[in-house]
Amino acid sequence: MSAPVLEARGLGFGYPGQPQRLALEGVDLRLEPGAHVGLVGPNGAGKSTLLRCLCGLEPLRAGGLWLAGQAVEGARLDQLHRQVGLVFQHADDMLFTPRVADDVAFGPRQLGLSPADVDARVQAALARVGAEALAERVPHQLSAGEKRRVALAAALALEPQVLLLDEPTSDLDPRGRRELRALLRELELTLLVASHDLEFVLALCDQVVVLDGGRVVRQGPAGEVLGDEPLMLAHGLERPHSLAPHAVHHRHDGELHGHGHEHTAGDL
Amino acid sequence: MSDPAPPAASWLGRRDDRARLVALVLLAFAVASLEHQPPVLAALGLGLALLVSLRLPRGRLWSRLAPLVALLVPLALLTPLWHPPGAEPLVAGWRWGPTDRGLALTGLILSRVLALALLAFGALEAAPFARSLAALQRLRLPQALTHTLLLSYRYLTLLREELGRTRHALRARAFRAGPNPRTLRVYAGVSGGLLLRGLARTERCEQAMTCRGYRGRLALGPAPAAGLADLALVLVALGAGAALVVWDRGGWVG
Repeated sequence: MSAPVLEARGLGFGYPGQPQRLALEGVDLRLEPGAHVGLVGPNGAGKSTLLRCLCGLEPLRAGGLWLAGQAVEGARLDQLHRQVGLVFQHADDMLFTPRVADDVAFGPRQLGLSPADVDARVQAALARVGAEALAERVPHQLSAGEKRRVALAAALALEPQVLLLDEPTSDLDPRGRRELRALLRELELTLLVASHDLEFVLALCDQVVVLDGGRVVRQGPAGEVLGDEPLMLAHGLERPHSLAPHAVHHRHDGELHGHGHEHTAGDL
Repeated sequence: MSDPAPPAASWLGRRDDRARLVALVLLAFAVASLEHQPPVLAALGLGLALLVSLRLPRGRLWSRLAPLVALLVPLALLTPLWHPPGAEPLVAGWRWGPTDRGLALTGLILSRVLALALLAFGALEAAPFARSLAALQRLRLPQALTHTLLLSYRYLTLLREELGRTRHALRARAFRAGPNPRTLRVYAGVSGGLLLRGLARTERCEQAMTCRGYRGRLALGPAPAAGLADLALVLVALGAGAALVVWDRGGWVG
């Protein structure tokens, strides 16, 4: 088995002022190279907190992170952003300059790259998300879908090995979700997607981790975990509609095809 | 906040941003020190000429100047009533009415403020705001100030959008503002909520920046080399400012 690109072992985290209460406790997580992993759980389960811990934004209270088999600590923790990108739930949080291209260039400039390299990265990142035409636009005038693309490009401009996405579909319409799913598939990156949109997770991810109360309660193949109705209900979730026994026929080319339903999972 | 369109095609937008800002500061200091009407009017003419040469949209000019004009209205109404010793009332027998010196002072102040505003508007709108901020940072302005300006610029828009949504939410629940304590309480609650949401947003924004390598300093990359034309711009601004001051202080004014 190849070394996981990112691994968390016994990860624990508590918010300041709450010494007795841990937001995350004993979280073990392995992200294999190229894997698409869904992170699901009820509100307050710790999904967003886990993402912030995985990219070094929150100080760990226990456990540690390993990047490509090497422990991440000290100076390496400070450089984690080079390998692990995070796309925030609200794209507006990531877009703060008056021009899209400057927002995408922010990360590469912080790396100290030359202007030519920064330009190359900006062009490449915008091209990867199909947003070249937005380069000169003003971020706050973009649609939700366009903002999402630009936020994604801003994270990709750092050329991370792992991309963490927090509720990537929260403000997207069905077409936007379909486009995002196709786009994420084409990225050929290791993805960890925290979402309440279980149809989206099912259509995109091979593996799913269920988090509740700051602990991992189950992980496994997406169809198997999300299709476990008692498990879903026990943790405040619902089995995706497309996994209902009468709805699912087969999985082909990443799409779910249903009997008696005209839509696919990604359309929902 | 309006769209900072890329006006880099203008002659001033093509100049080095540091030179553009230094030229503005030099002229602004000179204009602010003028005490006589003719040189101030010349400065006003200079500001107008700058705007005409830059071909900036009139709508944007008006949207920027309107708040300033609103602030100047009380001054324009009250200053003519100034009665220094020796001032002559404009209307005979109207002791508390406008005076000649009050009116002259009003004209001087208004034209000086407008001249400064036009010069600043032209210089700042000639290039995207982010470029001006980067130039300020390169000119060694404190980072706390440039960062605050950059983030305020962006987040004022978001705050305005949130205020709009909150206003709709209030109206949807039958709230009508009126001269009563309830309105004040509601406004106080809305202001507090906006501040709290702004704080939460600030924290998320900081995290988003940290994720992309921000450690307290915005990386600008190497500064572009300033050319002879940029130096000439600064020298012209210096010369124009000096000429105005000499005219103001020297023998040209009686």
